[in-house]
Amino acid sequence: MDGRILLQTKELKKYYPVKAGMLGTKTEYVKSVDGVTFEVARGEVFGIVGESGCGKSTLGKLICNLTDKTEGEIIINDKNISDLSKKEMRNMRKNIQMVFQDPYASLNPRMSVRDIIAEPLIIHNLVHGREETDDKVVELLRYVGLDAYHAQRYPHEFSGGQRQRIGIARALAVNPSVIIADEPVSALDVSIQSQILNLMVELKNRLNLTYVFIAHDLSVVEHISDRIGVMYLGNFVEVADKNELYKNPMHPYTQALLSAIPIPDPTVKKDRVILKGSIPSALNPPSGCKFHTRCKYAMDICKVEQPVKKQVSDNHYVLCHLYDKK
Amino acid sequence: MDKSKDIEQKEEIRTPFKEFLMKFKKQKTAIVALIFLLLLVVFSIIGEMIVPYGVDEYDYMNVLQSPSKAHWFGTDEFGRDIFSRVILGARISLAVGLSSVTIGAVIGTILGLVSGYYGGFIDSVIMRICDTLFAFPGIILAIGIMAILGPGMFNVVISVSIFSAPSFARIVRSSTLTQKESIYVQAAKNLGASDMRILFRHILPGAMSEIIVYYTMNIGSSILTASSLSFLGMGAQAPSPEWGLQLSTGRAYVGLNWHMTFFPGLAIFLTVLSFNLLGDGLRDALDPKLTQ
Repeated sequence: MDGRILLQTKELKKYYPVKAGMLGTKTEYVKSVDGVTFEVARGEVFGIVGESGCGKSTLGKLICNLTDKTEGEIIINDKNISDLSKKEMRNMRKNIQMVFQDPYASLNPRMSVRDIIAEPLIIHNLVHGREETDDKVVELLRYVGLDAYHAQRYPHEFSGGQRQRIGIARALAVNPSVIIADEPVSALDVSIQSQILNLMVELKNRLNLTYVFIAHDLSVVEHISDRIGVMYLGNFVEVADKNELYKNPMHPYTQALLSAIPIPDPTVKKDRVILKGSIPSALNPPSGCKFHTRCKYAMDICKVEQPVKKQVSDNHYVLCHLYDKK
Repeated sequence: MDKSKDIEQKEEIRTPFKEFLMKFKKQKTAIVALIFLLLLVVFSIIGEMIVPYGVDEYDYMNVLQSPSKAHWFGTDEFGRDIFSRVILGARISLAVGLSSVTIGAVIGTILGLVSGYYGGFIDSVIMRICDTLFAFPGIILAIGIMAILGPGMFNVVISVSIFSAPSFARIVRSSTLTQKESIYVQAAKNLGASDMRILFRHILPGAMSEIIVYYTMNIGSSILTASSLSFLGMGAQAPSPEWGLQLSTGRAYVGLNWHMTFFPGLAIFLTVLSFNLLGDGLRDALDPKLTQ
């Protein structure tokens, strides 16, 4: 990590309009991503965790500009992407690539692996001629642990893990600086998960990549991340270095998530924090602190006032009223 | 992975096309239909070389003959051989069917892609025009267009393509709408693919199986429409051996000479049926989707 900021978002928001009321006259908004501000340094792996519906995938899509933002800024390599023209944006996409959650749906079933991996090369004019393309495709396949003869095959002939390798190879084709990995292993068997995670770590070191790693599982994120942000209903409730977060979780939600990680030792008595109920609807989020409905420490102030981001120690930020006095 | 390497390398690569062929081979009826249609294609290419008589070989000594050894399907009111005229009529029907549906499919597909992909105002305009065309029963619309354009086979092609385009537009639009949200299209967008590339490299191939099936089925019905127009006197003009026109002239003699209407009618029936059966077979071979 050389400390230089590569990717930054400022007050990023994504609201999905929903027609409500009789005759659909009233428009309400699902606040999927609600004012996210964070930054990722070059060479860093930033993990994002949260339960389903908290907006983490939407955040990933926003960063990749796959969906239009409602408000806020995304700055990549010191360039604000809303200032870019359509052509510049397409060029910018070279820097930021995405690995998708579902390796079964993210590869076009009608294209051979060669065509899938060659597509970004052709779009960005990175290769000239058939031979060079084939060579480059084979090189990329080798990077991700596949072989040259796989190129002529079609996605349905591969297992989930192999498909995800193809997805990674495609993302690597344009030599990106950031890869947004949107739950890249959650669709895979546990035994394959670690293979893919190890591959990603290996590639990161070899190619000097930066990852934004989205997952709903703290144990997966722990393996790969340098810094972790915990998301709840559209915003980060806690952001800290990995070790700090695991040793000293501050936010009640983080504590609950961490207590849910199984410990491979049956004799250890765990102090589990069980969350009541499920995540509230993003259409009608609770007032004040959005977590107060499920928080066991909830105080009166939590219901009325939204907490602000506080720095509790070096690189450790939390959004909670419990730490107001400090 | 290394262990399976040796085995995998020998295995044949299953391209989507090969898989389709494997499934299509099991569709016996469709294969019979295809053979019949290929035969028609051969007839329409080398028709003159195999028919015993010419299209307008008049023989006033043998008018309105019943089927015999000399005239398998009998003769018409001018003594022309009906068998020869039915064989030579295949060319006209196939040409009209294929060309009108091809034009309709190309226009409809492009409209459907644009409409589904871009949505909004342009989508509303295209779909309302299609709805308007759908509101007419097919043949009435064709007659209406013929009334504007005037009779003739070329105008039949135009009118049939105008009314087949909307259905293609609808089919392609719905497929585009589904695929637009698919992850592989998102992935292509993420790679920086242009709209044209996404439309023609990802979405169109995805809609292709539906287009092919509908295309095949539609040829049958447009041959029927074209024949109907000729029957009504708005398409082919005498002395063309067009099947619908033969039916129309034979109609006057239907009580005495059944063969004059029977054989051209049978030709229309078998051709349309074959296209429909072929379409059914293609659908079964192309569905369920190629994904797995």
